[in-house]
Amino acid sequence: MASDDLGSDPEETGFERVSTGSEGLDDILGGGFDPNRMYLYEGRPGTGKTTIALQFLLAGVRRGERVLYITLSETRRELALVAKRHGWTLDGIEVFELVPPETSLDPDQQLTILHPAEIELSETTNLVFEKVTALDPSRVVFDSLSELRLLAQNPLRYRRQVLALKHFFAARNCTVVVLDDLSSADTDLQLHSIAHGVISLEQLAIDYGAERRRIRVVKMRGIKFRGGYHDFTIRTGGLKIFPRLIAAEHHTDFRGDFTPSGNSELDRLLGGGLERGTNALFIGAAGVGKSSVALSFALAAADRGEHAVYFAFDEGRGTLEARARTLGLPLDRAMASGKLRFQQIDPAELSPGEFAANVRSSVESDGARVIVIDSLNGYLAAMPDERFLVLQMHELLTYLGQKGVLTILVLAQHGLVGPMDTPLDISYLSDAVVMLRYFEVGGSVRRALSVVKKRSGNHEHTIREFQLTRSGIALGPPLTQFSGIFSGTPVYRGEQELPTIPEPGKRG
Amino acid sequence: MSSMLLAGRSVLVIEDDYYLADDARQTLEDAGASVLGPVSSMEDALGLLDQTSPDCALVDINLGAGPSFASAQAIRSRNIPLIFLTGYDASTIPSEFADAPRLQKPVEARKLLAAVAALVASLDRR
Repeated sequence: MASDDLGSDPEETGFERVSTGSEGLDDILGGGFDPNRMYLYEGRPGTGKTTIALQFLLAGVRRGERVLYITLSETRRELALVAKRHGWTLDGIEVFELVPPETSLDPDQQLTILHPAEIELSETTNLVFEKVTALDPSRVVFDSLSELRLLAQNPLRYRRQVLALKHFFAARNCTVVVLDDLSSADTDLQLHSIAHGVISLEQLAIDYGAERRRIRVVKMRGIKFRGGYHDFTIRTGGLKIFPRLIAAEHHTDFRGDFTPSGNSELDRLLGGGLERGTNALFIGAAGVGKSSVALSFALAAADRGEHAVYFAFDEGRGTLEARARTLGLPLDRAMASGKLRFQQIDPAELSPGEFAANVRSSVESDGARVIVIDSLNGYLAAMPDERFLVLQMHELLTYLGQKGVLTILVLAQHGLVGPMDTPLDISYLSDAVVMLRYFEVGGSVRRALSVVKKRSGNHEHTIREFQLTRSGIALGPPLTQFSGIFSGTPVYRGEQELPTIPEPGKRG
Repeated sequence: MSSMLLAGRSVLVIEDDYYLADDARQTLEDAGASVLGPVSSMEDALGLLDQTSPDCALVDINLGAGPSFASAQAIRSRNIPLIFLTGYDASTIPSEFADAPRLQKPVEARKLLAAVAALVASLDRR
């Protein structure tokens, strides 16, 4: 069996688990299966059952175990093809093709049609028993129960056969995965009660973009597992499962010190800067400079030798590079040194779970300290339902907060001046909100920036003009004439010229 | 129809962020309300309250020197209903104001209107 001999019964101690062959599923199950039990993988055709079942057997092969694939539906050649597509071979896997006699067209195997179905069914299961007894495998995949159900013809006999299988395997040191393609009209809850654990695989078609796949542990006796749906994709090499992020599981101690923006005036406006472990929402109209300000935070981090990741939903790398050039920001250097990673996300292709996993690995594997998500509008487009976006974003931000990462969220508003329409109500999740606006002076359009909200510490309650200059972002002194006109007219009425903006100091 | 949601109503706006104040003013005026202010300090707010009595008030909790509830208290003492505009969590708000509606900054125009209209409607039922 799978466990090393620990000198005590693993079933009693419970700490020896059998790997499912999928890192993600092992993670969801807190280590893997309990040994010597029967598990059910259910899902419609094409959801990845065969692939993840092969992964389970291959994990056994790697440990030098004897493993058996009993197939009533797919042929060995079909299985070999699946394996090949994933870069595997079936070497080490005993494939037992069990084409039920009455479905075989081979006259030698064909039984007389007068045989009652009861006998054909028990012959099928008897063949299974013989094979298993002869090989004595520690891992078995049975593909699939749907065929058995067809043979049984009625639920009672089917259940009896499944129970017979279960009892046969229960007496052996053997972990069994049975597959069911849900081809029966009603969901088979009986099967759920017989199996030690049930894992459900789904494939969803969404209105636009690639299909979404998700996996859920429906039941697992005696194992504390991560509930709910987990996104996954099928790639070369098997199922890539992205366990749902649970922020409370992650906490690292960190100092809540400031993450400088590289611009001392901007930091001053923010009451010292944005703290680690918090998140900031940059909102404003299209083109007002949100991404540029966000980028300068990321580059300042890279300058300090920290790792920053820029997730771009809306723009390509070229746009970002052009923007950085205009601002004289050392993007190439930061990217070349690997301190800044730019990742373009295609929301139509990526599930939110995969995105979260991506963010997680950039924090846990690459040590990212500053993360920019540009923009939430693009992320929103990836999600069919806004409620889930806010919930997922909440979990992600909490996770990043626990990890001491500064997260900058960019959100574009509709409209250019006046009251703006925000497509997503997320400001209550944000620790800080920075608002970027256009304003008009003497016929020219200029930009202003103010901190609307900051949870920790105080911030300047002023509006400052800012410019995107060739040497970065430049902030002017507070626009006092603005706040002086609260009695009425919404235009800038400074008597003198706008205060000139000093060239920004040296970056970093 | 909806543009006259607040016809004949007067709303005091206390907010020190120019843009947010101006957005609120424009939103309220578009709905037919007359706006007192916007003012950016407690002194200005008290000055206006001495001259006139609005139907309700929008109150920013932090006017630059940390959370302050002096103007909210002054408004309450005049029996004028109020709505808080804030970036703070609910825990910042003293229990005496726990029943006052709270809007997260920056406020969406329609949310602002909905909150003010609800407050004004409850006034009519008194």
